[in-house]
Amino acid sequence: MGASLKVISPGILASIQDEGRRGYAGFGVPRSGAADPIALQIGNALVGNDPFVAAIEFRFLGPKVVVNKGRMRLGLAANATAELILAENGEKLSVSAWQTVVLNEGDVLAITSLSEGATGYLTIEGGLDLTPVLESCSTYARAKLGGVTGLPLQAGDVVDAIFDVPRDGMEKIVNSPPVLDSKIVRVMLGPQEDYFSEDEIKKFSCEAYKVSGDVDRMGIRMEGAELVPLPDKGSDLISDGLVPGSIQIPGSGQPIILFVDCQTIGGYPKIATVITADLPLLGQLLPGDSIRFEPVTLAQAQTALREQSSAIQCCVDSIADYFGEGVMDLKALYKTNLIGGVVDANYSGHFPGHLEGMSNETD
Amino acid sequence: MDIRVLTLGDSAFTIEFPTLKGAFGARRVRALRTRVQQEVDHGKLLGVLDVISASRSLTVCLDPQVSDYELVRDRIADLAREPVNDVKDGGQLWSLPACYQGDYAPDLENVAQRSGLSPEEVIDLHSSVTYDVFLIGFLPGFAFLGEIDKRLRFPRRTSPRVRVPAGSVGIANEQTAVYPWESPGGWHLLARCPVPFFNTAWEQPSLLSAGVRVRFDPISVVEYEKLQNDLNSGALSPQSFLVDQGRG
Repeated sequence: MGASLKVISPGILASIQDEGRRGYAGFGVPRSGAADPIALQIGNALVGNDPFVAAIEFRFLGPKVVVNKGRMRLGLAANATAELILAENGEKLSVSAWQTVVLNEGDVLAITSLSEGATGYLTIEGGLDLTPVLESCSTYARAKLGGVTGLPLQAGDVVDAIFDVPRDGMEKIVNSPPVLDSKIVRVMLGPQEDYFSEDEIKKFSCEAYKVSGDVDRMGIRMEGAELVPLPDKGSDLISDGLVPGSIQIPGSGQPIILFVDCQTIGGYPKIATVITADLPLLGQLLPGDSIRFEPVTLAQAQTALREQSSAIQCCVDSIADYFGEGVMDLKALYKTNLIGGVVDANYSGHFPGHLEGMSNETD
Repeated sequence: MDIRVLTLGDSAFTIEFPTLKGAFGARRVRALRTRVQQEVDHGKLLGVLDVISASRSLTVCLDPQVSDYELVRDRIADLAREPVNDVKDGGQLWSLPACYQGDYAPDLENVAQRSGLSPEEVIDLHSSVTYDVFLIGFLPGFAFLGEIDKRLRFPRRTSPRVRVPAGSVGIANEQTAVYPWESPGGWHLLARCPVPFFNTAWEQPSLLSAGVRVRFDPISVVEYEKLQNDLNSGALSPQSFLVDQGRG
């Protein structure tokens, strides 16, 4: 039996997600899966997992969890810090963004709100002990598929890990986490760009749009210049297939970007579709953010995807042993003279506490 | 065949038959879907992840890391232009029991009044047609069937119900459907069907798929309850309501 984690507080919309479901859209089953698959991949690399192993996704505000059985190593894949409260003596240690940490039975990890972006992951070394539903552990609440109960995580839910104890080895950190500064969402026009005049298309691609308060895994409602379909076309069409990233223009003229849990079919005209490389960006949009849609060609979209694969690899390659605070009690280590005390020249200044020659033992 | 190829980003496209609609469109789409599936099974179209049927279009989703988008798109467009021998014949035929009585038929009286018919005539009109499944969507396993008799066509309820029980048989505009899940809904509810429509344990999680045919077989409350018990206990399989395998 593996270790297990109990949810003390789920934060806002925490759920189990992996790569999502493929092959069931024809039966009306949405793809679901990670809102930011890049963060999930890097978070899994951080704990030595395959890229799309199921993890705890949280949005806007992180969860608070306690290890209620065994020991486990977690990866904090988010622009958020956390507080580790030790069961042994109640001591509070700070955990940096994008690092791993080992929790003993009774230790509590409280993740703060995200300092940047909207989505983060708590990855679990060795993965979670869940039974896939339609080949995925992703939670899709409307049909109660996946996750632990089919629903977003609730206080009291217990999530079982596969490992009962962590692997031996140093804690890790992503030295170059993904950068979230793009305010441009690249799209390919269509499938119903012919519902809109050239002027309306120009408006769509030049004006800035603001993310409204209506943001969830189904869709992201935008606010900005109203887009009016040609009078002979209207806002209704014979329903056709949708994908996450489809940008619908309903009667209000305000775009809705459909997202990972979106329906498979819809009847509003879709002016454009977000390219695959920019879908992860959608998972990081916060209410109030301002973005611009930039039409690109298929060749540009394909180049963007290749460049993104290299960028992800760079983040993964930047994962290194971590010697900072939070992983271990530095004061105690100093006292017992376990530290060799040489600053790593490669990262000096990056982490003031970055030291070499430390013992692998973390507790 | 007149087709349009619509771009749905760098990992999906939609093939549309702009001149087709209704049952004829659904059958033409089913024929294309079968051809695409054959090619996929023969390893000819790499990276096809999902195929979504709508009433006059087929959407194909690809894995952009694996697929050659233009190659797959052009090949499927060629398949769509191929003449189809006979799309008049349907696929599988399901005869689904439906109880048009009492609490199972909350909107029957209202629909009868609005259409100037007796409740019996409404039941007769709804259960005498063999419907085509135009598409599966809205919720997993939710089948849109058409087309219903012109006399029964009304827009959705002005105030949708917060809770429509699973199995409810509804009508709206020219379509009819069975709710596979309890959910909010705005359709006029004429009957209740005891057969489960979605189960992740089945090889095909949705009982119905686009292109199959369905008719409703009126049953009494007593029969409904017996069927529901037998289906729940496993004594009866949902597959027993498949009355004709069709031609796939």
